[in-house]
Amino acid sequence: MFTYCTDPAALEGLKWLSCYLTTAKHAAFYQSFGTVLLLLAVTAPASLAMGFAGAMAARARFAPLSFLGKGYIAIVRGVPDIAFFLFFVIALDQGIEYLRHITLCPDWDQPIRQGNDFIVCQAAKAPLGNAPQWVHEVYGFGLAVFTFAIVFGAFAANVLFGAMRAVPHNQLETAAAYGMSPRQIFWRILVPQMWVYALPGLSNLWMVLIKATPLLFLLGVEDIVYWARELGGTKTPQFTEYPHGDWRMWYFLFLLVFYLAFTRASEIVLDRIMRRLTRGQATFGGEAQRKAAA
Amino acid sequence: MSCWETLADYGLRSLGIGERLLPRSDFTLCQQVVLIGSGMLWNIYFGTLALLSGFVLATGLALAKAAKHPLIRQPALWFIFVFRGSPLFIQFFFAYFLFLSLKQVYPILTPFTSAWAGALVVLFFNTAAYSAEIFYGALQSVPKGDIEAADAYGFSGARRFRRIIWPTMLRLAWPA
Repeated sequence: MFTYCTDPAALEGLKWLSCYLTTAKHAAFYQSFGTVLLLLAVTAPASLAMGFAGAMAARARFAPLSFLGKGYIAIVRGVPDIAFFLFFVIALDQGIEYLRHITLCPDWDQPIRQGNDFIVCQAAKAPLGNAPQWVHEVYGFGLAVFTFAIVFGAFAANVLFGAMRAVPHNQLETAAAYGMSPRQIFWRILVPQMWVYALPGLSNLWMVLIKATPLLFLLGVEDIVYWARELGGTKTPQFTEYPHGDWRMWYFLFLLVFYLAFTRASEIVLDRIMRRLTRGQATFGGEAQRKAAA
Repeated sequence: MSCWETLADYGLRSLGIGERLLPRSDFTLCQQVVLIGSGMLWNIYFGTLALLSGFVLATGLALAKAAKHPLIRQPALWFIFVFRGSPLFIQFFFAYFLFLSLKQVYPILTPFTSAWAGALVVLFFNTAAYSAEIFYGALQSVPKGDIEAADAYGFSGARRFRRIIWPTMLRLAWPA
């Protein structure tokens, strides 16, 4: 990157390091941090939406809908995350390919399952075998986001369901006495007030979500764990201009520090949001704020 | 092949005892259960050891976090922050490579590069950090009256902790 980087073997100390840390491979490593942040940025609203829908379904008065919502929450919460991540990604992938297979290749005569192999016709592969690399990456990333949204949506649904029930009942009764319809009560009274009860649970969930992001590696996305292993491993002079020993420990130390800093920053931001939401609420925290101001 | 033979052949496979070669085709239900159950031996091993040892360290950490002296409190705070603030997955990787590097300087650390010991250490620290936070919360909510009553009865220091504070703390921490 820098002009003096043309002959790395002649460099030493900080100069060598500055060249080493700006190679094309390291650029990919830094980009993978973007992948993780993107995953969080997409997954958090998606699972919040899933959670909201789940909570609404669970408290519906129409019994089958309520069973559906409660069943979703119970099933996902009862199964370990990793099992769900691995199961969903494989199941979704095979499900999509199977559906494409029966529509695109109706005259296929061999069985789809041959022992441990799952074989569909070439035209039904998702994405197609000749698709460019980025399509494969986006497809894998999309599956990962969808899985994260399903799993964390169930947890969010549980938190929101509890928060909706925590809003003082008098508030809802008063609204009904003023002649509001159930829909109006829900959107104008219940939803604005439930966030303060939901936030402790949701912020906990956010912390768990941050710590679940390295699971992307297990799903085959080239994330920070993949690159840290790749770049940290021993490099001999035959294959690279920057030979070094086994530095994986330092790379993982860097990841550790990254996650710690991210957790700390989230804590500070969530504290602020909590203080903002507590303002004017008829809770212990809200009362304390009122007294401090007076 | 009967189910008993399968159990004898594959029951301890995950520990490296018994038949190595897996059955090739026609998995029976019995074989599936035995093979998965064999892997679960490791879950039991890690789970019990990490929980038991983690609880002991967690009690110490919770007490250290509640201590007044900053030299005792700060290390406990950092320990809990590091192990609760980062993904377990990354901790495993980091610890493994740390032990790999340390092995070259101190050969005595060689066993920690194998899964049964290295992973156990990380799990032990992780469990300790998470339960220390719970214990700390419980410690803070031990009723003041209990401690004053203990003082009035002439309990002091370690005896007061062991007989009065600790049992109440465990009782309060149990639901979490």
